[in-house]
Amino acid sequence: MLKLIIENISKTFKDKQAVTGFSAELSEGVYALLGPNGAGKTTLMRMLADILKPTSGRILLDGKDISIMGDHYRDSLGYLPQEFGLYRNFTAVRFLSYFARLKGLDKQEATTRVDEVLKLVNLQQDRKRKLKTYSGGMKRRLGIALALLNDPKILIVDEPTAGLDPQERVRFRNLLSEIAGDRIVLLSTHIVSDIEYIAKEVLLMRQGTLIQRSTSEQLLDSVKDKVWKCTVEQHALPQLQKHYKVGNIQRVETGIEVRIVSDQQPLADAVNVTPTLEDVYLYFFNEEVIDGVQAGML
Amino acid sequence: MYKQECYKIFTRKSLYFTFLLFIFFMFITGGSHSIHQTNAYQSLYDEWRGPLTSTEIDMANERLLKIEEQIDREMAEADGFEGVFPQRIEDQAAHSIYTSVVQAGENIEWFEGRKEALHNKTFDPTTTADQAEDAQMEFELLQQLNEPIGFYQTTTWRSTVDFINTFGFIFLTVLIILGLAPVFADEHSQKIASLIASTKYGKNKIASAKILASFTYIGALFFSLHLVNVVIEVIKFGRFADGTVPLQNLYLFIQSPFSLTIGQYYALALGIQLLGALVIGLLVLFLSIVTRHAMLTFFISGAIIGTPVLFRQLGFDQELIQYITQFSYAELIRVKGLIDQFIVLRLFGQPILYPYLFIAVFLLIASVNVFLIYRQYRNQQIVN
Ligand SMILES: Nc1ncnc2c1ncn2[C@@H]1O[C@H](COP(=O)(O)OP(=O)(O)O)[C@@H](O)[C@H]1O
Ligand SMILES: [Mg+2]
Repeated sequence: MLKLIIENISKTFKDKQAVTGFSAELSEGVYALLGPNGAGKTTLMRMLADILKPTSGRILLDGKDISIMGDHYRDSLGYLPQEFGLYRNFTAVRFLSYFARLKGLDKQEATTRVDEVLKLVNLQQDRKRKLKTYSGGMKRRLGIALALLNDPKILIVDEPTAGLDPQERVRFRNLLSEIAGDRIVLLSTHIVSDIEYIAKEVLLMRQGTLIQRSTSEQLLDSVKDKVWKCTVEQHALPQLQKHYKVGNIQRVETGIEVRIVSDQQPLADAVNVTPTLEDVYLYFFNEEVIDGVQAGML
Repeated sequence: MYKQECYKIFTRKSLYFTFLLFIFFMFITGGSHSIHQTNAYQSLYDEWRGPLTSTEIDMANERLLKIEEQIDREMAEADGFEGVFPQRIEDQAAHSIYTSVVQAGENIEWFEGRKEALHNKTFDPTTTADQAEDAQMEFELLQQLNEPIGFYQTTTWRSTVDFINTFGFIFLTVLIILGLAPVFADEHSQKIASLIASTKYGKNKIASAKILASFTYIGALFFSLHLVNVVIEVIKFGRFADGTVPLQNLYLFIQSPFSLTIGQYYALALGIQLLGALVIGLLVLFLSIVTRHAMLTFFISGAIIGTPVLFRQLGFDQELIQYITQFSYAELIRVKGLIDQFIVLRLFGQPILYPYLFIAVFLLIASVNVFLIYRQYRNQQIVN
């Protein structure tokens, strides 16, 4: 049984606290790290990827401090950063072979494994092409292939769906659930729909701290009676947005139908509706994340 | 890994372009001595080549005087016409040879005079004990040289040897900095650094692979540059001859106290220059890790290597600055300054010859540099 313990991790950049006292215990399964831009997701993941040292706190894999494990820890790690580049003049095969060696595979293992992961991400047709000819979606897929080369026990992917079109995003989600297996998968996102189906648990992160951790069902449950729908006239909208967390807005015949997340009934004719994760997001992160919600509605 | 690291360096077109540019430059600079290729010159040369006695030197002196009188006469007769004097090829060859022999005679005299001065210095009551000890050391070295100077036609050797401390070291330095500045830095600009550092061997073995690939590049560069130079020298000046005569026959090394033949010096200088190239390579690699920026690495390396040279050119080499100019990367890769004169330094009161101390210092610098490369690379934090 795999166990990754994040023990009271903090990271301070000069005077900016990016991550503050983050603790969590993860075992096999897919975890979604959900939070608005600037919440500290990337910083936390870099520390988990052993490329950034925490200012304080420890990370333990099966009881051993990863900063002491060093090579051994990274041997079981697959990490795909939020932003990454490729060697433009390398072909996919050359690129992956290079990383296969970096990940400790011998020549023979590397050859077979490169084939396998290319097949997995459906790039075998483009294996001999120079990477500068790759599209954004292909690059992401190659990134996933790269992260999987060493069959990692811990897979960390930072905003893997950013910049993908909706179709590619669906394909990516499927790929992720396919490969989840008995690994610890931690993916960050500020796009709610990403996690709806695949995440075993959701970690909500805000201003560097873990504010809530639960299953998607529990999360939905926690906002059960707090999501409302009502129809208002156009001119009432600004006032409404000022006082409430307003989600989806839709023009209908009788005016404008709005979705509101609120502890109390906002308007007399507002009715309770079934919550979605987007409502959860709105509930926890409120105005700072309008961006994210809208992206999530795509 | 090593192979791919080599691939990254060796597929950069700008390096080939710069290399070819330098070669072109080597071709067009420095002319040949056409008179040396003539039969007239060769036959007279065979006659005079070798150690010189004072009678021979006197004879050369007389003949030179005669030719010079003849030149005056011819010029007076030609009155106003342009041309080369003396007019006959044979006389031109003789003029060239006797001039060189007379020059060699003066060099011999100078050399003997220097030995005598040193010998006297050891007895001079006004010299300090240290000075006397140094003079004795130099005197003994010169004594071992055993009349090194004679008359030899060493143009091809001179030019080849000269390449090491002129264009050679400059071209090498530029191409090393150009080639290696991106080795670590570009992983950041290409946003690959975090991918690499999160892999099993991404914090240690990769650094070894990069260092090895860099050394491979330096080696390939070094050998091709010198090989091309040798070919160019032969094309310009003809075949190599008299490589087995003492180094002091090259005028620039007349003050050298070391017992080396020209050929031995060339081999030694190539060895030291290759060492210098590798040491400079390590410096560039280290800066490439620290700055994470190829351009910045390029300029800082250039400044570190170039500043002592500039100081020396400007005459700022007194007191403490002297240590900077004396123990600089440029002096190492230039080689010449280590061998062409007698310098003795004192380490804990013990006299030690400059080149030995110098090489020791740079081996130490190189080891520290390697250590720092691994440490810095292992501990780097990646936030972009
Ligand atoms: N290298 C850095 N230097 C200074 N501040 C940083 C650095 N990296 C991140 N931050 C700050 O830390 C906070 C968290 O950033 P990040 O981890 O990128 O959040 P997220 O990935 O959730 O968007 C932000 O306020 C960001 O400005
Ligand atoms: Mg981020």
